[in-house]
Amino acid sequence: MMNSDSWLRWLERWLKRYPVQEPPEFMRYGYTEEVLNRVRAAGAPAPLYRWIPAPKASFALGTLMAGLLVGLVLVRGSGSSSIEQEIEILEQVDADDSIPTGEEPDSEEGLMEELRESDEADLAVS
Amino acid sequence: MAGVSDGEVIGAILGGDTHRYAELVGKYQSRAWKLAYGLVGNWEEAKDLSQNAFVKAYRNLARFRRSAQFSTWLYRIVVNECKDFFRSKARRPSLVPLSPDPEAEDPIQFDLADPAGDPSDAAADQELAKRLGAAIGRLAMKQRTAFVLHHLNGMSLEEVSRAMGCRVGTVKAHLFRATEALRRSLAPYLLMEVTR
Repeated sequence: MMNSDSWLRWLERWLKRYPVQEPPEFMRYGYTEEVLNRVRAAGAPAPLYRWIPAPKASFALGTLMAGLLVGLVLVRGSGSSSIEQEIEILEQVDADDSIPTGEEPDSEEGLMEELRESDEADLAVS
Repeated sequence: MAGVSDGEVIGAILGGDTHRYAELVGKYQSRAWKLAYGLVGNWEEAKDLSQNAFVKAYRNLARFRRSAQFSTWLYRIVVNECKDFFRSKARRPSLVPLSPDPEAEDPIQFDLADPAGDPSDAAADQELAKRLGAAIGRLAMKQRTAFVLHHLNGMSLEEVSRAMGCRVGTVKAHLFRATEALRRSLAPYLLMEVTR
């Protein structure tokens, strides 16, 4: 068996003497025209950096979204603080026994007392 | 059209002279077709694949860096088309089992017409050509690609590395493995060859 070097030399010599066949003559006809027909059907070459307009739009959209986000955060931030204030007031109200809670009276006796006070107040006004 | 570089033609095409693409097709069709043939072993399929490559090259012409060679870029597209062909056919050359009949596959055909050759050698050369064509067809895809580009299409190692998208050292490794695989495949016939 030939060693690697002599085999390679022999192979290169052989391939030079017997190159790969050329494409058959009858198949060569119309090759370029077929490619050009397909190229014409495909339209003009795709422009480079087709995405160039996209960053402009993306930038504008991104800026808009960022603005909206900032606005939303601010609104939600102020909303949070108003909610916190409300909770704070409610806690103060709960803590103050002098302010009616609006809860239903615990008992029928209490309800009757409440109605009597209400009637007296109405009579006093009239 | 002598004297006009590929870069100039490409510039004209991108500038709207699209019909000038015929110049590039005419210039490289034979080599692109032969390259695809070396990889798939069938003239008809090779024609389709090389034409697909030309269409893809045209569509992406604006991406072509003009500091590079159009031919190398085109050959790379051809190689990728052939890879896709094998993928779609689920017919990877590296997985084709050894066949006792080389004609069962698509062996590459060599041009054995040699008027100066000894007629008594013709039969042996014919047999060897058939075996060699089949053995090339059984190489793994990367080895086969490197072998076809370098040994059958006459491209330099640097050109092969650019067409395959790998380093020159890797190309050398693929070529070494390819030629060793061919040497092993053809050992019985080579003995006859060196002794005649």
